[in-house]
Amino acid sequence: MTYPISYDSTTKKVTLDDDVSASQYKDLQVELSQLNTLTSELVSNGGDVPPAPSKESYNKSLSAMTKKMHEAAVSSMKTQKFADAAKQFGLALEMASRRAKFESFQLTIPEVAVCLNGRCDANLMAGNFLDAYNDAEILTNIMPNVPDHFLRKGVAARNLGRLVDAKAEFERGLCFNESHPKLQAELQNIVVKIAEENGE
Amino acid sequence: MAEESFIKEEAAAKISVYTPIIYVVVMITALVVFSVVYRRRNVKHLQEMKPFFPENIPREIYFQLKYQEPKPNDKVLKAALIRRGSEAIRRMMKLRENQQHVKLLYERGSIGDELFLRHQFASKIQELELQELGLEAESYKQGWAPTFFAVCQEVTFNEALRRRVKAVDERKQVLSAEWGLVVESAEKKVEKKVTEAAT
Repeated sequence: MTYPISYDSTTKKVTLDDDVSASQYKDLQVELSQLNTLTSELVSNGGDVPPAPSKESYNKSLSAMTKKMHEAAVSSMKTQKFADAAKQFGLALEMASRRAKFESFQLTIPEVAVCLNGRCDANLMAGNFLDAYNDAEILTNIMPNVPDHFLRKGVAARNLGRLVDAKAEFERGLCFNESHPKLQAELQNIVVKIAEENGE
Repeated sequence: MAEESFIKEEAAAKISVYTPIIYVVVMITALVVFSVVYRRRNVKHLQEMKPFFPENIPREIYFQLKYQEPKPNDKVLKAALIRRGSEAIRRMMKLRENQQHVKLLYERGSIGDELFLRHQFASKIQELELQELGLEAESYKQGWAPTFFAVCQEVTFNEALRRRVKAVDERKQVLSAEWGLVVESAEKKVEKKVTEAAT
């Protein structure tokens, strides 16, 4: 199969032909944008081929920038500017996930998780429970063995009025640590609330 | 008694010496025809079988760019090859994840021959694809193949992570529609608080 794509030698980018509609080739366009991103990352890397993923080839200056932004967000949290903190955590997250795709995933994931943790907490405190729920959902997907992520997701779900979902999240979290005091307390509370809702 | 044995001898003498040869020839021809027809049917069946995975877009893009005139920059081709490798690794991982379950379901009779065959077939295709990718990587730079697959794996994981992080807004809309929530932006909330404070 031949795709309607064209290569521009000056920008080194592959794009959809002008005479086709983007909506018709949605998947192809996603693939092309990912290819162009990877090409620009390879060009900026400079080497003949991308280096093997390791600690040495990991971009440390980007890590330092992410850390700075994270620290700024933490200080906003301390002064109770939760909406600002959520935005700053979001920026830190963007920085962390903007590194070259061929860099070590093992080193990227803790950075991303720390930013998501912070943003989730900031959103919970700011009352943006749906955003907090989404952040916690990503956290439970990328690091499923951390009970605190289920606590965050459960609290967000409870505040969204999803009591049964919240109960399931607390129970899941307790599977990883049976003696987690906050999860236990939240589970007890939610069981009582569900019973109240059922008229018991 | 003597007359009876004479009749038997006469009957034995009537069978031609070519009879067993013809018999063997007919048997072999029948087996060859059966084998040819059977194999053709199998190949046709495999060709008609629905592929396990959808179209491999990164692979097609790579080939299209590789054989295009004028030839794109080497970095673009390498990036396209890495994306092709990343897709191959993603597919291989999916197949390995499913392998045990597919086998178990097949043994229990929960899935049919066709799905099981499609899975087996896809595994073989992916193995060949990985071999081909190794050779292709070597053609760009001698000794690149060992680090090439490690790079492809990182690209696969990092892309998956980015997809999840980027899907937050879309997921928010889906959930709010599903749960019937009214989502207020942070700006609107601040505006509301300001007007409340003013009144």
